Amino acid sequence: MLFPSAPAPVPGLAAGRLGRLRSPSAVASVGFAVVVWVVLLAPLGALAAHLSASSISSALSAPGALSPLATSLEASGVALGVLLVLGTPAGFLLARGRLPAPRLWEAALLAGLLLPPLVVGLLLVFLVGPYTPIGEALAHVHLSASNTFFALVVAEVYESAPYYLLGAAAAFAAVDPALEAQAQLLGDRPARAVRRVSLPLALPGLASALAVAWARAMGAFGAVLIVAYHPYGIPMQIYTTLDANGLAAALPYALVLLVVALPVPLAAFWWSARARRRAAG
Amino acid sequence: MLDVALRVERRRFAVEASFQVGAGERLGLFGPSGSGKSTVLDAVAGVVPLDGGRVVLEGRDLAGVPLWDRRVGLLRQRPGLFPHLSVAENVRYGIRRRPDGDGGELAVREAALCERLGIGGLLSAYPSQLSGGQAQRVALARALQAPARALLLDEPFQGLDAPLRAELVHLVRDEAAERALPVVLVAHELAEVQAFAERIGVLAGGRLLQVAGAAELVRRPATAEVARLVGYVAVLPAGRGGELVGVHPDRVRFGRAPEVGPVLEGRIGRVVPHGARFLAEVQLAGQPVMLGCDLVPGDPGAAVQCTLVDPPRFGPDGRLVGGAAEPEPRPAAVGP
Repeated sequence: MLFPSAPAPVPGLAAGRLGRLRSPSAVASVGFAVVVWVVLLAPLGALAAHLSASSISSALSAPGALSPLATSLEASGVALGVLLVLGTPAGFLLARGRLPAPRLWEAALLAGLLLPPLVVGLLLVFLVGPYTPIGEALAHVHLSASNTFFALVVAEVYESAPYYLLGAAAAFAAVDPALEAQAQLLGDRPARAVRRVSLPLALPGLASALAVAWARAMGAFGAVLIVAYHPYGIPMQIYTTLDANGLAAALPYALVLLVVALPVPLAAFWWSARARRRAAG
Repeated sequence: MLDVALRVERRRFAVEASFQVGAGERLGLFGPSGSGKSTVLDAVAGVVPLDGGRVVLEGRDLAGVPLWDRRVGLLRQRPGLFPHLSVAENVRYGIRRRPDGDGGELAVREAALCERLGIGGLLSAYPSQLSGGQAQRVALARALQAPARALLLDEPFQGLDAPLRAELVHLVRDEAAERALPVVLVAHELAEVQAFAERIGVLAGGRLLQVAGAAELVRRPATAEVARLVGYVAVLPAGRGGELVGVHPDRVRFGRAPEVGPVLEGRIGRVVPHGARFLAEVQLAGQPVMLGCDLVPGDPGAAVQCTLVDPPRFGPDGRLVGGAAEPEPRPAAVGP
């Protein structure tokens, strides 16, 4: 037979995915990954082990127990809206090097990322506190960046903005500028080329960045503690409950925070990874 | 008509080129890698800013005209398809539906174009599912569907197999003629440029050394430098007051035929097969020169006479003398 009708089975491939585990190094790497996952997920296990259905229901059925959750969801939603509207174009300009002194912008973003949130909160008091020029200007429009919903939004924006901006800039930087130029040569004005080409191509990366920003905003605590102790968001509720009633009483709120804060980023990451795989063929 | 006289500063040298391409005319720009060919196209397209000169298309100076309003199509070796759009959406990308209701005509045109390019069955596929040749055909369809008034092709057929390349060359020639588009094609292989263009410009080190008819360029290169670029392997003295003649491996006859050109004495070295022919190393005027031949011209070491067929003659300054170039074939309709 000159041309066999089917290729001969390749040793190792026939065993499918398990075939990859035949070498000692493959076994070692899978074992290492399992250890890392166990270590990372252990706190979640501890949370599950220390919660009972009755403690969750009694904690959450108390009058006003869920209002911190609503506050956090509303404030994070507004913060993300602000980031989307202002951060997306800024990320694009950063990625394309269209801002003057681009290194300075990057350094500022990194500083925002590296500053401890508690320090960010302290600095915000000096920047937008009631006795500052900005604070006085805000007072003219009946806003205050101290212990208000607005202050909560400001603190969450400051804590999550560097994550979104850097993620958005990376997402746009991954889009070949030659494609934008091609779209313009085919008759698109720059804004239209961005809308038809760059934005759809950056969408998976933007979704990832937004997911991280959402998790940061929902869990924002350090800056919030300083500028927006009231109204309570859910992290503050956890802290005050822990302080007043102990660990067991705070755990149900921790679970609520995880249940609300995690699915959105996880879904966004899953969609983003799937979109990238599809784009790569 | 596309009228170009431009200057673009690059790191190592400035690229300077002046040429005109009439409506429906095809100009080829040929030169070695790094000679500035792509820079010229990018500057005409507006992707690279000019440092001097101007680009005029159909009487409109494109200085300061943004990319989206230049109406210049650019097709590169990398097809640059939009990966998130289907083949059909890519092909239609540059089409703006106008209120005068020409949508039907455009659709018919698109269907005919895609059929001719062999991508009619791929319209719902995505770029990641296409082979290199298919992607390049889709990019060509996209460039031809857009309402461009000039077409710039930067080595677009590189890496495609010969029959496909020939078909695409035919198609672009037909489209250029039908729509009276000036077309500029850039390539680093002379044969590719010759197969496409009526006139060819030779670029080296950022300078446009000569623009001539496709056949004329090889027969009458303006200087010894151009001669080397278009395939002459040596420039040798041939009597008559220090005159030099260009030796092209495909423009030589083994044996004596003084009626077609000067005869040089030489000695055969090694002979190697070259496709269906042979390349014979011959010592001519003390230089080893590889010459093409249909049959093995003789044993190594044997004396041989070689007749150079109507070779270009150069003065001591390296410029073409005598045998002035015939009038260049120009397009019948040159004008906006």
